[in-house]
Amino acid sequence: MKPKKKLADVSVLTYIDIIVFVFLALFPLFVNVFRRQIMAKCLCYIVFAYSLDLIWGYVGLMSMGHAVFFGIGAYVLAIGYSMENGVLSYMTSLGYMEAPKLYYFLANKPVAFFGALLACGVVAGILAAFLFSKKVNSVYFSLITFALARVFQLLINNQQRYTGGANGITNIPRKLIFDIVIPQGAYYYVLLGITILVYLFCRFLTGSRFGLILEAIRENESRLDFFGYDVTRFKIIIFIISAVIAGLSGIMFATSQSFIGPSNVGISASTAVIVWLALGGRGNLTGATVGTLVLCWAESLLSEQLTDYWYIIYGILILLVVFFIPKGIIGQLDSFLYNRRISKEQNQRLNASEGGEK
Amino acid sequence: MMGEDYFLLIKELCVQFGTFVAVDHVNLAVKNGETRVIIGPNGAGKTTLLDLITGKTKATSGTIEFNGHQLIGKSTSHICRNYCVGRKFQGPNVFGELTVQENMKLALMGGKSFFQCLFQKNTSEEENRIRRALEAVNLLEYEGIRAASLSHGQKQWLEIGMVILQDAQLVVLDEPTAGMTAEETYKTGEMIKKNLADKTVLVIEHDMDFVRQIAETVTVLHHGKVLAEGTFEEVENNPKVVQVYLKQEEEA
Amino acid sequence: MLLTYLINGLMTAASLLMMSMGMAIIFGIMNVVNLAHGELIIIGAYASYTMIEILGLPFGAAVLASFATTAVIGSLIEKIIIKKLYGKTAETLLVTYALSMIFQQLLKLIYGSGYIHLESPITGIVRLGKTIMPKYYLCIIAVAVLMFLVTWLLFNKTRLGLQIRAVSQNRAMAACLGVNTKRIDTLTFAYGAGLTGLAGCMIAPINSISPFAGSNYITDSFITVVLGGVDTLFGPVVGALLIGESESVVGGFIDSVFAEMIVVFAVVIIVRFFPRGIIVKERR
Repeated sequence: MKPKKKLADVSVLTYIDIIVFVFLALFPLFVNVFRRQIMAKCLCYIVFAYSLDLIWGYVGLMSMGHAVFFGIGAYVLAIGYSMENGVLSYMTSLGYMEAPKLYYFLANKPVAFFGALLACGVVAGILAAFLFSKKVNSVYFSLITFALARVFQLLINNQQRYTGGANGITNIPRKLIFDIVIPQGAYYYVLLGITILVYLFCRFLTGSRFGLILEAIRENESRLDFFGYDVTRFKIIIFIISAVIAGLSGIMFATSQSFIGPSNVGISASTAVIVWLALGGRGNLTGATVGTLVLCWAESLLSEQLTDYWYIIYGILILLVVFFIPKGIIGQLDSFLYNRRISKEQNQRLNASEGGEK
Repeated sequence: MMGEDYFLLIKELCVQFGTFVAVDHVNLAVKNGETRVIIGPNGAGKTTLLDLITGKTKATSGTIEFNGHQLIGKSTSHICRNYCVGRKFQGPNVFGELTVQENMKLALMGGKSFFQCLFQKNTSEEENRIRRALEAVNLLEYEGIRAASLSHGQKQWLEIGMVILQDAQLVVLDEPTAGMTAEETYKTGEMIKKNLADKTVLVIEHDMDFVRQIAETVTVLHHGKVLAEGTFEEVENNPKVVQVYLKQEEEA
Repeated sequence: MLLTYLINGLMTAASLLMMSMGMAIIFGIMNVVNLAHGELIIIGAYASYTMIEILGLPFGAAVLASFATTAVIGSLIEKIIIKKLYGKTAETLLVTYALSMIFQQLLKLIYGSGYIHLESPITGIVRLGKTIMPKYYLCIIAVAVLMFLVTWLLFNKTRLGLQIRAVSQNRAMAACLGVNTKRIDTLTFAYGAGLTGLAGCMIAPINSISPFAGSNYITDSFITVVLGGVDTLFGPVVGALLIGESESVVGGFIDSVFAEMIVVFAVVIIVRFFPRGIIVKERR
């Protein structure tokens, strides 16, 4: 008997992914513009959740400041896209008549787009080079990224001239790479297309031998050394990839919501995505999709009605998830499917050996 | 020169932790294809010696020459990748949430750079090698099971399977039978003899029956020094060894 | 100028030390990262506010109340939640983050979302050469030194301290020797939390306190602990001095946000070379 190559549980998750994407594609046909805009925001956040899943779910490194990369992507792009005649839209209201020299070359749209992604990669690469040295405890990675998220938010708030300060940057044109404004309805599908492409890319990445190594780092990093893999280099590479994807999600957010502000890039934004993954389940992309969809909708529907109490409920929800479904919704489903398959195989083995005795 | 006949040549190796000398002027010469067992009471410096060979611990002084390469000062991944050294740890040390087959895939030698890992697919020849190695360690039918749900002995075998598959020139085994039943221990011995026959193997072991089963040459370490060396019978009858080691075991 | 900044830096260092000592104990001894640490500081500050401004009691009562309140809250957190999560870093981070969110909202519901103002219990200034310094700053420095000494004595000269160290070194062995490890865990956590609340009480008169101000303080505590290391109690002292002085000096000459940013980046680089912090115990 040759065992099936594709494990049964993997394909169930793939079915869920496909169903979710079909649902997302049909969604605008049945709802009003307001709802569609919420879903557009969800799409950006799903990509953001994928980026964290790569580094936390697969490699086991809990980045508590991932919104920094979301923010770098969004801000670099927003600055470039809202440059008009050498002035940014927010600047005139603040009384600045001239943009900083540094910003001039961002006025070119493709430069701004790819510059935003590049900036994320460079910052991530520098950080990783220092933080992934062999002896640095992975808890320190979490603490330092946490501190970075806070410092980044402070900086954005503080540097009004360069970032628009607490008001953020508004009226970001709905353009992508090229200097063409895309209508809102069509832009939803652009976002969905990007989401699916990122999903496929992550599937390719995690399905390859590289993905296997990522999971092996999570499971037993020190053992991997003895198979001759340069673990530090793999960690640096995946952190850069993750940061670039986070930056891309920031770009999606800034262009679709036509706004980016300090509250989108700080500690609360960084921890929000952690909670989505915790609820959905980490280490499989499906969990990222499901967790993000559930919590984003819950937040947009409930937070206005419940105001203060929403955060208390949210906190209690996190406690419940950690204690009762520690692997997240999809993670729990995955273990259930795995256990069922294993007990089935065991029964088969038992039957086979009994048959042999007769 | 005598030295050229040896595959692994350790000269005057010392390592010191604070004031404690863990390995004290150890000299060791292992021929190509030899199975060498290192025995010695607890704290004799056996595991430290393996740590030194695989680059996990830095030596205070001395040299380790393997197949013409100097191992001192090289990183673990460098040693394991470029000089084909494989190691099995004391106690199970596998990737718990990955399946048995995935564990084996990690052990496969081959492209270890980023792009190779991203694009290279396992060839059918490699798949066959995985199957053969799993067969050798009685784990073929557990292919799809996560390593964490294997029994203790099976995890140890999985590790041996990984080392076999790694196709290393030097295989370092740290107590491969720890926690096994007598029957499992015997099977393990046969596995090692059968599958690692043409490899140079360095084993640390406490179980004397197992040592007798697999050893070609035995080295006895005591307080970080080499106390005796020879065939199992020679060592067994060496009065010094009997005094410090075998006798000590009886007392305990 | 520089001298003024250096003396002010000493005060910053003292408040950093107070804030991070509790974290160093909880993180260093129990290996738990408490993301609700900032909220414990704030709760301490509000406890003191309640005592002084609402009940009209003296500052001494506020000090005791802030320590007691957070110690009780800490012991409850440990007994109900943290106890089940030892060794699970990600889960602990999530749960303590959830707690921090709940605390923030509860504080807001009780006290409102605005900033509170507390009078310094000691007014007046002292002159050190050309530098003028409020007397209360000296008081903070003195309290920080006192907290450090008491904690050091507790851990190194008492039976309880010996038990705490024993549990953190080898839990199973300590249990075999008759140490009630669960009680020790709760006590350690409560003591760490209590110190944190006390820090909140001390810094309340000179800092802005609101239900959401916790994140201002937790990052500083993190950075102090990461830089100094948690192997010994001297780690946070060195971390606090370095960060307090550099934030004060850089902040004085340039800008406080830049100062914080520079400090964080410096720590990123330093951690590469001192992965366990600057002050480490020698080990194999």
